Amino acid sequence: MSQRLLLSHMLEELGYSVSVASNGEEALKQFNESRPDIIFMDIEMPVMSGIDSVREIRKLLGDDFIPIIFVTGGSSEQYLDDCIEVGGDDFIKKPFNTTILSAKTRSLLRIKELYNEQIEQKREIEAFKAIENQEHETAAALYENIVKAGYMESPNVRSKLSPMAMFNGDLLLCSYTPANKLNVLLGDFTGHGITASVAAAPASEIFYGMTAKGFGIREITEEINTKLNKLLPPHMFLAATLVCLDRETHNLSTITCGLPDHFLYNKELDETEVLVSNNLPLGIVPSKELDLTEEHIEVTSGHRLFMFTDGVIEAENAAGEPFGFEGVSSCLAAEKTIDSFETILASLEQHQGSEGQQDDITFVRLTCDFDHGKWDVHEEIKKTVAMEPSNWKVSCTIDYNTLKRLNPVPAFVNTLMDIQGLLPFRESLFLIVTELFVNSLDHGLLGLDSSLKQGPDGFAKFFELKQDRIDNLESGDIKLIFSHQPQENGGILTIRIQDTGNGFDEKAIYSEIKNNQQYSGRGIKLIRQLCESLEYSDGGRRATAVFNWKNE
Amino acid sequence: MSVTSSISGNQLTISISGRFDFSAHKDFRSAIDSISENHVTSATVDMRTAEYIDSSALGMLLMLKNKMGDSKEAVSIINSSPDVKKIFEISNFGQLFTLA
Repeated sequence: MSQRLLLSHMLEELGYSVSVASNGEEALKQFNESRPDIIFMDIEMPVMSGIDSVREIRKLLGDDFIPIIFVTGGSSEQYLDDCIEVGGDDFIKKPFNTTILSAKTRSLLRIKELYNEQIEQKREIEAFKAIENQEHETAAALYENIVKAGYMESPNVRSKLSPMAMFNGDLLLCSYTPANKLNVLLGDFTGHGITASVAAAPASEIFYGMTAKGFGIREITEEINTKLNKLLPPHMFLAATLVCLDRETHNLSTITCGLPDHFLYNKELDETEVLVSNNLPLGIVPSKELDLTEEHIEVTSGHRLFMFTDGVIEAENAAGEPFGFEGVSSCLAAEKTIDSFETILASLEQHQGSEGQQDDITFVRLTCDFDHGKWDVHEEIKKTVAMEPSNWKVSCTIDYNTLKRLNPVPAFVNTLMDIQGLLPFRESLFLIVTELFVNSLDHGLLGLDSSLKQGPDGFAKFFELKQDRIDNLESGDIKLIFSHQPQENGGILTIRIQDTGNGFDEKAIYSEIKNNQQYSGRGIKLIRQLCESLEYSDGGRRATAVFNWKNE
Repeated sequence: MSVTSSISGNQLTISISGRFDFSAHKDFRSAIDSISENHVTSATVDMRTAEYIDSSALGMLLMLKNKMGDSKEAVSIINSSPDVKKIFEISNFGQLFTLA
């Protein structure tokens, strides 16, 4: 009996089904017809040798794996190296021993099984990765849409947000209020991808919605906090800074909630002030426990505010050292003569060296420049109003308790927009009502002297005192009366405001602008520009403004 | 990074060493899970050998606080290095935790 038939018998005895080929070429043909689980291959055969046959089989198998055992003995010993080279996995020597044959066969079949399992897992992982990549792309696209939806370009804001930083949950929102204040939010979510974009949606909606309605950054911050507190699981939060730049008062208000230190550079004095975060990040505690600290800084056109998320601070060089606050502040020293925005980016790139990918960079510069054209009151939207102007009157009294809690102006102005076709004049009305209201509250009800606003830090002190008096207010109210009469192709809106305070001399406020355009008194000047008339009576306790409007 | 925790009486102590970041998530989570089984009433996080913390570590500390209840005294964070302290300061975590 030939060795081939003997081996076939022994394997059948062990329970395997066997097919036999008499040479290498035949083996190749059989392999193509039915792929076996394991191959035993003689070396010296007619037509095609075992070594040539295995070389072909391995080529056909590619990534798949079938164990191949070479049968050796006699003169074939000299070919062992070739056997390994073409892809033999083991050898079995003639004459065959059943125990050894069984052990080798079983162990190689087990290896094959493991190999196939691993290949299968690899395929699964690759498929999973492909899905994940696609979801990441979707998340990134979604995130970008959400964040950019209400974004208003401002010449005051220069920013660098790398795509990876956005994917990591960095957020930059920027928009103007109807009273022409610039609101900016820089944020950094814990978590990234889908998680961050889910949370970014309500945050940016609140920011843009409330900014458009004229709310201040304190109210916006509280609202975002409330929403995120309800929405996010305990370990997730938003570290953020909200900034409001007001050309009217040259005031920069900031609410800092957990981002790395910001730098406020004063070009004129070549001085840098560090703004350290002094509030909790948003979404951790309910808003009533948040007790936000808002800072007010008087700025000039030479001031620049530099803000960034932790990606900039943590960017490492080849030695693993972070860029750090030192990296940023050393660049600021050069700001006096050159554009520090580019300097910082270049310096960061240099720091990161050849491995630098700048893949997690969010960096914002707010220039407190009050002179360019964008600040001029936005062009009023001219729209034909279909509704016929009519007669109406509405009044409302806000008591001291309500005044402590909210700024009623945005709500009022929005209500007016709903009643009558005043929509095209929203910006103007917003300004008028805001200024009237602020005067009644500050100088009437709270008895604040506007001369406080003079001098360095005047506004900061004024705001501090204002907050203090509001907190301690125990009586009083402010009443607003709006009445409207139609006129040809338009109407006359009369706005009356009265407060229960001790009255004030509006001329004292107004006269200041002759001496100092910068600090205060702009409000009344603005109202006079926008209105047909403005009269103060009852010792300053009552003001009446008349606004004429016409469709064009 | 390593997280070790021990409970004595009603007191849970979690010690962090190395970088305190997302890689500590699983161990930290299981330390938190041991709270309800063992009637823990106060927790201490020992940062003596922690080199660095990131925002996911802050998140884990918030999870611990959430589990321990509202009181600021319920969770103490001790032995923080100046670098780690700076991160707690930026986040104003002094309002939520006892920092020592």
